[in-house]
Formats: sequence, structure tokens, C-alpha cells
Amino acid sequence: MRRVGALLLLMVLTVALGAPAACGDELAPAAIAEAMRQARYSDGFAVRMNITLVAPTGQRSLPIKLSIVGQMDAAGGRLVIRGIAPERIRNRFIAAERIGAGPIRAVAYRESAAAGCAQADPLMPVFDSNLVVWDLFAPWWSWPEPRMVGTARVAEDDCVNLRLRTDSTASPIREVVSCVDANRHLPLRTQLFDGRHTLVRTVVVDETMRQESGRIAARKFSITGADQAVSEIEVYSGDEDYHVPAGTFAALDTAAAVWNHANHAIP
Amino acid sequence: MNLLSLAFGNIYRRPARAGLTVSAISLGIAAVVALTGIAWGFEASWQKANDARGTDLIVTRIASENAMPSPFRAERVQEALKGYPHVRQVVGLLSEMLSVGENSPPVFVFGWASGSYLWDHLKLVAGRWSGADTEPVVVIGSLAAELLHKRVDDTLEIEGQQFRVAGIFESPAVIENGAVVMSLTLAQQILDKPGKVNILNVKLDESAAEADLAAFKARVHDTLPGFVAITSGELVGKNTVVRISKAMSHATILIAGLVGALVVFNTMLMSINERTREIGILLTVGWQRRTIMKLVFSESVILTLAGGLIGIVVGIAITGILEHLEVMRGKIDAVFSPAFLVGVVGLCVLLGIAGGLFPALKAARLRPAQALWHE
Amino acid sequence: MNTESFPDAIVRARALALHFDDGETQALDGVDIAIRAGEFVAVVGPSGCGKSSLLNIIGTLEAPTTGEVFFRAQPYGGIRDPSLFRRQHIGFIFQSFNLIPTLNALDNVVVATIGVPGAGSDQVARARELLEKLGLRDRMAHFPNKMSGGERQRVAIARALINTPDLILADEPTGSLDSANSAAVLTLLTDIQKERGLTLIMATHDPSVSARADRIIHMRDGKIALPQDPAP
Repeated sequence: MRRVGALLLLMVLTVALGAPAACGDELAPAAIAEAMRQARYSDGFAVRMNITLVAPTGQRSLPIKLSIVGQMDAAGGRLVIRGIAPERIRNRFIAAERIGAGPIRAVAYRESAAAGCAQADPLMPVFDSNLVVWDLFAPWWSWPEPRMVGTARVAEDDCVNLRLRTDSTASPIREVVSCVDANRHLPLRTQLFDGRHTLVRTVVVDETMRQESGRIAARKFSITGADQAVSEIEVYSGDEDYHVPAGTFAALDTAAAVWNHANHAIP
Repeated sequence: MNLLSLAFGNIYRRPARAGLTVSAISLGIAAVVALTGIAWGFEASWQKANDARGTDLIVTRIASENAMPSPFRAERVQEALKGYPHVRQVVGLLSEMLSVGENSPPVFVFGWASGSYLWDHLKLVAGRWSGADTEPVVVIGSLAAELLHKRVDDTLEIEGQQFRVAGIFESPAVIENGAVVMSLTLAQQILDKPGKVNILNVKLDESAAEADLAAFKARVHDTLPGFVAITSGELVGKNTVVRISKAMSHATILIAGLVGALVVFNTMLMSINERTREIGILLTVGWQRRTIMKLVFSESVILTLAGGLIGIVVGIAITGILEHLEVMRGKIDAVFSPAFLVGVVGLCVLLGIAGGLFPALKAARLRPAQALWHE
Repeated sequence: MNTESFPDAIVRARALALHFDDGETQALDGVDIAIRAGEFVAVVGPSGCGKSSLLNIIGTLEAPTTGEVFFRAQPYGGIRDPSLFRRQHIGFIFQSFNLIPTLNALDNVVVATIGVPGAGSDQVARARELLEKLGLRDRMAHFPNKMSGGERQRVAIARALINTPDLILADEPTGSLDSANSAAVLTLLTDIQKERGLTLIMATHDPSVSARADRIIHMRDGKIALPQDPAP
């Protein structure tokens, strides 16, 4: 499996392409989408982040800390989110997976999967932030027939807008417009729309960093919800070559048996 | 009266203009002094931290550009290095900048292998060292204790886990003084980086010579692809932050130099234009053209030297204030070497000469008969 | 005039011409003069006749368009450093005093010695001595704007003498003074000239001043207007 600097980029929205930079104007939209999808492949990654919630009134919460570890490849992906601080989220876990182009499924548990898991909605905000499990898998990069819809300028950087749509009525998000920096291969701004073309979330990269591998990834980004509440996210630690310990995805293995017999998932 | 006192008098006759000129130069020089002192201090502090530990060589990933190189799996490399000649210890180090507690500024959290030589240079000032490798305790630097308002037996929350402060130490390096240190095993556990380190510190025996260091480096290069053995100075030199801060200080020197020279140029040109008749008088009474040039250069150099000396004092003061700011404490350890300060004074003299060159030439080329009639 | 008639001339000028504006203005037009050492020569004539231009050229403040000037038979063209030449041989006195306003009387005299190798406390002492001799003992620390015209001109005379010149060029030195001050300054100047054996060339349009000269050179329209009076 090709290893890329998907770590920090796992964050959907902050993907850096593993392939050498190519001019976006020369690439077909489908090629860009495919490259973005492949850039997320990783044998293992770990990332830790601070998330500060900013209410529409401007009131800021104390930051929450969480970690995400996972694996991604062409056959699907798995990840585990763990709350680190404060106390109320400490060792609360959300595990999620996607097999192939199938639905994204999630479970939640405390301390350890052995203590019991509950089915979780992958569209629910992670620990009351605007971070959403479903977004972390960035399923839109697999949607058919992406289209180029012009260029834009986000935070002083030029990018090309890709519009991706799905006809699946089961999908909570029906359209995504992502403005990709073709040179650095960063989705500088990603807008997610529902079936009624209502803007549900916007993710904007605010600050980037060069990783050990030399690839550019987002260091700070913000997610604005429909209610105008903003989650400011800062990545403070990461490992793009993370060795996922055995048992990390035990909760998913347990839940798989249930999922194989029922349709609890949201595509 | 001599040339110098005449030059001082000429400057003093326009106190507002001279004051503004000196202020502009001193601000530029203050920025140069502060930024360069911080940049060099940053480099020196990291090097001091590495040197204080007694590390002879550091083995890390080739592409490391960060203050602390990215973590890698240590086991294979560590075992290989132990077999090299003259190697006494190969010790892993893991580090991360973390916020410790809800309202505390981020601090460096170091994980050092228990019982290794890395601990030897620290001086315990309160409490005790940590015991077993997995005992959930930390020791903290004296500056960190102050910043975090922690004493022995207080608890610290690091990445969601509680640690008791076993002891407080002092280190020759300010970076370590502002840091939290725990066993490598604990650090790997809380950072979820089992088996990983940022660098491997290699301590050689006393018989190792320069040639042995070179041979060690070559062997790492040849047998451990993707890794490099370097001295602490070389590691710091590769550091992107050090490079950026040095580049910034160089850019500041350039910009401050250009602005300073332009300010002096403007001031001296105005002064020369106002004093055309006086220069005509001096030429008439027998002043040689080179004496006129000396006078103009003296004035411009006095301006830049005054600005420079004030700038040095202001720059050092600014840095001192920054060092004592709550958010910056432990992160800045500015270095002002005498050679650097002499260099700044030299820069000021050059600025004075550069800024005064055209006005001096213009003054010296005046024709006395015409200058005498200038109003 | 025949400039060769004074074999002991300190200054000799031959066919001097000074043109401005591409030749449209002729400040001097074929002037021949010879000045003997120790002589007091008055150059008289109406304003714009070329008196100041003649003094400027003799003082090396200006170069003639054509013609030659000699100082003790040495051609001006061979002078490498006119400033040094002025310092060693010429003292200047101007109608408008030309003192430096930010320097006091003493410093206005001493300033002429700056740059002289070995100048220092000796020059200050000498400046004090000169100012005392010129009656300015109590005015040495005064700045020009706190001094009368006569005092200022005496400071200018001291400055002209500080480097022990051979030749004093005075351009209307009494032109800005009242008659009493004018007479006093003139007396001082001529006394010093006689005492030291200096050569004094004075441009003036005041007959009472020129009357005290050893010789008068009349100028008109940039030329010597009348034959010179014979030397006494």
C-alpha cells in the first residue's frame, strides 16, 4: 500500500497529495479527485489536535484535546478517535470504518471496547465540535463525474473548485465543492451541501506546515457549521508512520458481526 | 575646538532632526539586535541543551528540519549503533511541545531513557528523581515550576494523564529549565509512540578522537539508510526554525541597514544644503576638500553611532522584557556576544559612511565662490 | 599695464578674462596687474566692474576663463591643492563678514586652523592673542549675532590672519560698517599690514578707504580703467 503523508491530512480536508505536484489546469477533475483519494492511503497514522469551539456570539470554549489513529487504503479505512482532555471526554472513543465504497459505520465506547460498544451516528459531531466522523473519510472523492467549476482565491492562495455530487438519496451530504490548491495539493476550502443544497459545513485551511516527508499539510483549520459556530482546530502532534497496535480496532471487529446482519449504517 | 567638536555642534544645532534620525536608526538597530540575539540564542540554547547532556553524536532521520526531528522506531538503529567502536551509550529521546493543564502555556515534555547519562547534568534542587521506569511521576525544570506554578508533590495533567511532580531540577540550558522530563517509556506511552524516539544520543568513550567521530558518521551513512549521525551543532544548523530566525535576522539587518543609510543620507543632504554657505566659508579659509568630507562623515557616523548604541541598549532591553513575559519565558534565551555587538557598532559606522558618502562628496565639490553667495 | 615692470611682484596677472553664461557676460576682460609684496593696493570702481571677480581669481576661489596668474612667479595652474594654497598664503575678509553663526568669536578664528597638521592648543592661544590685539578680549565667547558689525569684522580679520598669510584679500571690508567702525577697522587693517609687511589688496568703492592705499587700480566694465598710480 502506498504510504503517504496522510496523517494530518487524514483530516479529510487537509489532504496532501503524495504524487509530485502537477498543474491543476492540466489535470482532469476526475484525476484530481482520484489523486486526492489516493493521497489518503496510509498504513498507519496518528494525529493529536486541540479544538476550540467558538460560538456564534464569539464566546470561546476551553480547548478539547483528542487523538485520531487510523489506516486507509483502496479497500476502505478504519479509524479511532479518543478524547484526551478535559475530563468529560477523557478516554471516550469513537471508532469508524468504511469498507470499499460502502457505508460509513461508527461505534462509541468508554475506556475499552470490551466494556461494551454502542452504535454511533457518523454524522454526529465529535465531542460537541463541528468535526464529523463522516467527513474524515472524505467519501466525496469517490463520487462519479467530478466537475471543475472555476477558480477561487482562499487565504491568498489560488485554487480550483471541484464540484462533486452523488445521486444516492441515502447520503446525508449530496454535494461537495472543494477548492484545491493544485500546486500544494491542499483542499483549501471545502463546502458540504445537503440534498436541498443547503450549506451544512465549511472547512477552511488556515495554516499549513511542511511535514518530515516534505509534504505540505494543514496545521490549523476551521470548520464552520450551519449555525455559524466555528471549531478552530490545531494539530499539535502527528506521526505519519504510525504502527497501529493490535486491538486498536477491536470495537469495529465486534460491531462488524452485527452490521453484517443489519443495516444500521448511514452511507 | 576640533573637527569632532565642530561635528557635534553641527548635529546639535538641529536637535529635532538629529533626534528623529537617531531614533529611526536606533529602532532599526534595536530590531537587529533583538532578532539576532534571539535567533542566536535559540540556536545556542538548543546546542547548549545537547552539549550539556554530554552527547557526542546524534543519530536521527535525514530529513529532520524541525526543532526536534520527527519520531522514528528506535530499536533496530539503536542495536546497530551499540556495536560501533567507542560507543558507550546509545540513548533515545522523545520530545513534544504540549500544553500541560488547561490554562498553562505549552512546554517541552522530554522523555529520557531511565538511568541513562542524559540525566547526569541536571541538578536536583527539590524532591527526588523518578524511580521505576513506569512510575507516573515527572521532574520539572525550575523555570517550568515557576511558569506552571507547581511544586514537589503537585500533580500535572499531561495528555489526559495525571503525573506527580517528584522533583525540581536546574539545567545549564534554558530549554531544559522550562521543560517537563519523564522516563522515555512514559513519554512513549502518553504520546502513543511506543518504541519511537526523536533522536538517539550517542556517548562515546574518552579514547574516541575526531577521526573516530568521522568514521562513525560515515558508517551510519553507509549502513543505516535514511539516517544520519551529526553533532548537536549540525543538528541545530539544520533546524528550520533556526534557519528561519537567522534568515529573518539577516533580512532585518539588510532592511535596517538600507533604511538607516537612507535616513542618514537624507539628513546629511538636508544639512549640507542648509550649510552650503558655511562650507563655502570653510573652503575659502583653507579647508581642504578631504577635511570637508571628514566633517560630513564625522557627523553622519556620530548620528549612526548614537543610534546604534541606543539601539543596542533598547534591543537588549526589549529582549529582556520578552524573556520575562509569561508567554515567552523559557522559550527565549537571547545571546549577545561581544563580537556581535562590536559588529553592530561596525555596521553603524558603515551606515554612517554609506549614508554620508554622497552628501560628503557633494559638499567637497562645492565651488567656494558660488557657495559663499548661497542663501 | 606692463606687468613686467614689477620684478618683485607677489601677484602677477596677465590677460585675465572671466566669462559667464557662455561668454555673454564678461566679468573680467583682459586684465593685467602686478602687485608687489608688502603693498596696499585698492581696487576701485563701480559695482559690477569686476573687482570681486579679480579678488576671487587672485584668491583661487575662481579660475579665470583665460589668462594667467602667478604667485611669486609660480603659475596658478601648477597649484595642486588650491585650498592648501589659500591656507598657506591668503587671508580673506568680506563685506558680509562670512562668520559661522553657530561658532563664537574664538571658534570662528580657530576654525580656519582645523585640518592643519599639528594645530591644537597653539592655534587657540594664537587666536586669543589676535582677538585681544583686535580689541575683542571680552567678546571671545560671543556669537556673531551678539556682536556689532565692527566686532564681527575684527573677528573676520583675526580669522584671516590666523594662518599667517602673505596676502590679504579684502572685498569691501568696510561696506557694512558705519563711518566710525569703518575707520577703526581700516586703521587696524593697515596697521597690521604695515607691521607684518603683508600685501593687502582691497576692493572698495569708498574714496576715503582707497585714499589710504599705496596704489589704486581703477576698474570699469571688467577692465583696468586708468593707468595705475606709480608705486611710492
